[in-house]
Amino acid sequence: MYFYFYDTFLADKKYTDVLSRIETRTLHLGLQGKIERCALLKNAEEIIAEAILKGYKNIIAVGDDASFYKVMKVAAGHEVTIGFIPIGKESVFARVFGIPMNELACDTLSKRVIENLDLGKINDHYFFSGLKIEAKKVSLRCDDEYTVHVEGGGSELEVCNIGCFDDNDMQRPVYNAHDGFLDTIIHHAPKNRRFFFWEKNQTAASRSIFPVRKVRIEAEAPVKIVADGQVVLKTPVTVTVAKKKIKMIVGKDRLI
Amino acid sequence: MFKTKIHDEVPAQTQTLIGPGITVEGNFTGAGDVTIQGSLVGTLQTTKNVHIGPQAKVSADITAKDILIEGSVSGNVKCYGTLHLKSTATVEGNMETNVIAVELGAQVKGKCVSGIGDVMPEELPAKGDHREKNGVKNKEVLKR
Repeated sequence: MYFYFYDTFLADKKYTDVLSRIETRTLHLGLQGKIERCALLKNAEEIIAEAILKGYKNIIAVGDDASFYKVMKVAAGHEVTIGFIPIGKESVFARVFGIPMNELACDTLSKRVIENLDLGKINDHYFFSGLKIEAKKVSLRCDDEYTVHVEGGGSELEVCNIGCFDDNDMQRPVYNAHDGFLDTIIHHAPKNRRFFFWEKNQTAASRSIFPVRKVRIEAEAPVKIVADGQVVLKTPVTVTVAKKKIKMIVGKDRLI
Repeated sequence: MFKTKIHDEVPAQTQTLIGPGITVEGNFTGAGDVTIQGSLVGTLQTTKNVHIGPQAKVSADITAKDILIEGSVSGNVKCYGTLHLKSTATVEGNMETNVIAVELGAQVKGKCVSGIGDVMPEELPAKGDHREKNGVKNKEVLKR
């Protein structure tokens, strides 16, 4: 049985038409199930946890990328399959999972191509895409075997499962989400070395990549860490990979 | 009108990149190809290839399949494929390799033994092996 979680913003009248088309399509494909809407008195986590307790094996997030995160956070670690129906014009996860937008996503659901994907775990929180850390004099203890020291400012540090996608920056690479590794990436800022007008302006920005199973991040002073663009934590933290933690219905044009 | 574009730069296999300004200390076991442009102190082992850039400084014993050295290495080098020393390479330590190629200008202080064979010992941890699924390599699984 399918459980459809409708995010809060779908209560707006402008989404009535697309939701109606989705419900019609799911009916035609035999994917009908229970629909629950997120409302003022109903917390998203409670709705999804209740659905899992009731025995629903397919939890479908209907909404945007934030809606998918809400479902993923609760469903991780349970024996359920997660699906996604992206609503609107653009969605990073729709592109990553190879799922078309709006009612066409129902066809992807009906084909049930399932991938077991890794998650990252930071302290007690699961994250799906990645972590962003201010790389000011941090040290990384990787796999309890070696230590990486980041020198100098202007660097950006990420620990990626599939990649860090900000709202305004979609030009990020997508990493392998079922290889059992997290990719620790240090972006070095380009150096501006133009002393004379005939010299070239900047060296190209470069990056360092360390595939790890476990990394301990420490800094001289507590540093902010943003997980999945939402949850904020502070160092020191231990980040590990949770192998094949979620089952996800994906499309044939997926990037992972 | 404005299409979301995501770079499909998924590496076909795990690779490790140590960029300039980065110092790694400890026993580094790479899961695939390793490229060093910064500093490494300790040991370096991988079943794949190692590339040491011209500005890199490595104080470590290195064991790998093919090794290309353009920078400074202080430690013993064991190569089960081809050990290539570029003109800017400086190696202080003993080298054991299957095949060696040395460019004019490379500096070596130590013994060199070639023809050791191309079969890597089993005790070298092969982190990359589990990434193959049912005999199909990941670069075939990953799709654009």
